[in-house]
Parts: sequence; C-alpha cells; structure tokens
Amino acid sequence: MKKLRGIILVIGCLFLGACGKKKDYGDYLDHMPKSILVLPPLNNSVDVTATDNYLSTVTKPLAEAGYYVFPVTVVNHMMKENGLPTPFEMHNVPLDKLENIFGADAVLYITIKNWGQSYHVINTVTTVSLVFKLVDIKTGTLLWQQAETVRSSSGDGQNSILGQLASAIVVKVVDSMTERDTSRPLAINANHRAFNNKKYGLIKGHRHPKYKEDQLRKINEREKLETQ
Amino acid sequence: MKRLIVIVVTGSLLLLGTACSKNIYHWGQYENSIYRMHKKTADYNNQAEIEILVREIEKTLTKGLLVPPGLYMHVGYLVSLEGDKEEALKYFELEKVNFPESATFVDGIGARLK
Repeated sequence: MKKLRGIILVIGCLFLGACGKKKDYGDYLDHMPKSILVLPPLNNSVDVTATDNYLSTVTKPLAEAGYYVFPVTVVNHMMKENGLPTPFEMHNVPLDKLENIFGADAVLYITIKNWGQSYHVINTVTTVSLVFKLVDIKTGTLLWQQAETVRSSSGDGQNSILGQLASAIVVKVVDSMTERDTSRPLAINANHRAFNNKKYGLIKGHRHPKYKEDQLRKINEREKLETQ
Repeated sequence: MKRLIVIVVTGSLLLLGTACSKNIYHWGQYENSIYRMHKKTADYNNQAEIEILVREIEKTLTKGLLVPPGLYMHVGYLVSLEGDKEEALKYFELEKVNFPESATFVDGIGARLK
C-alpha cells in the first residue's frame, strides 16, 4: 500500500513537472507583437538603485530577439515629467492610454524581487530575481510570463567547472563596464535565460532572421498540445 | 586520425560559436550610456555622452551595420536636454524612418517639443 502511494506520488510529480514545463503559446501567437514597451520595473528589493540599474540591461536582449524596443530612458523621463514619479504609478497607467502615447503592441511589466548582496560567514551571495509579464496592449491578454533567479557567490571555488565558466563570463561582463556593479551582470544573465530559452522563452520577433522558422515551430508545438 | 577528429570538432565548435554570437545590431555604448545616465554620478557629462554616441552611430553606418532600436531617439532626447530642439527633432525623425514602429511616440513627442 505504502509502495503504491509512493508510485502515485512520483507519477503525480512527473505529471505536474511536465505540465509546468510546457508553455502554451496560443495567446502569444494570436497577438504576435512587433514592438515592446518596457516600463521601468517595480522594485520590491531593498536596493533603491535597482530600477535604474536594471534599465540598462533590457533593450539589447529584446531587440536581438527581433522586437522594436522603445528607448527606455526617454520613456522613463517622459513619464516622470508627466506626473508619474515611480514605477508603481507607471504600472497602473491604463493600457489604452499607453497605446495612445506610444503606439506599442505589447507592454513588458517587470518586477524586481531581489537585487543585491547578502553577506554570510564564508561568502557573499549576490542574488537577482526578476518576474516578467508580457501583455497585449489592445486586449490586455497575458502573452507570456516568466520568473528567473540568478545567484553568484564569492566563495564559488568548490563549484563545478560549468559554474566556474559561467562566473568567468559574468566577471568578463563586469570588467567591460566602466563601473563595477555586481548585480547588473546577473540581471543580464537572468534576462538572457528568460528571453532566449528554447522551451519557455520569447517567440522570435519580426526583425529576427529566424522569425518565420520559430513561429512555425511554436505553431506546430501548439497543434501537438491540442491533439493530446 | 585522432588529431584530425579533434581539429574538425574544435573547428566546427568555433564556427558554431561565431554563428551564434552574431548580433542583428551594433550596440557599442548605447546601454552603457543608459547606465551612466541613470547612475547620476557627479562626473556625468551630457555633452560628452552625445559626442560619444553620435560618433558611434557614424562608425556603425560606415561599417554597414545596423543602429539599434531606440538609439536615435535616446540621442535626440540628450540633445533636447541641451536646448537644441531642431537637432533633437532630426534624431527623432531618424528613429521613425528606421523603425516605423516608433511613429506614434515620435510624432507625439515631436509635437510637444515644437
């Protein structure tokens, strides 16, 4: 009996796991955006500089995924000048108003859950956690969402070779910056993981060379899901 | 023979690497400039920032590469902070010509500047 319960539990977990991994791209495909308006992210972390620092990481990966990305600095400053001092107010602007001003196809709402370092006895851990929600501006339909957490530790010596390689890449990104900011490269990494993952990432946008290919692949996956 | 296989494998890995890292746009200092602007450090120099980005756009175009979305408008905005509305409008127009997706935003911001 105990054994049977165990088996059922295992099968249940597998089932749940499988469901969690498959993303339904139906709404996304139906409202495929060409342009994305990134609003300054809502900051739930303790670091007050997180929103401003994050803004310099998000344009490149979205544009390289094939989308038109509105200039984040201009958007941020313009909203502030028009009586929306913080991301909280900006995130509460009705979609039809955003559409009138920007003419965007979709809005990317980002929440920063974690940003920065926590100090422990043997090491310092830097954590960046982000939640993304892409919403169709005309209908308010949620097209895509994803949460990513990236950590790096100062005492990572005992980690795997792969981990060391990853942190080596991160260090390289940091060094190419004029100033050191330990959370920023992790945000770049989190963006990359969320946007470019083959299973759950964004569909390639219309300015990407593999746009048609990727869309067809997602349509096929959707049909497979529907016939199951 | 073994060596040959190693060479072929590394060669194809290298090829794969370069193929994957190919960007659509030439990014240069655009995001670093956003970073510097938001950092609001005492040594931030708007005029110098404009010069860096304008020079970079020229270089990108002479190399036959693509200017990333938002950069023309970003530069136009920095120029408008210096009070030169006409020059700013030129950059906004360039954004619209290169990226028609920006038309609504550019027209709106342009009308407010005039």
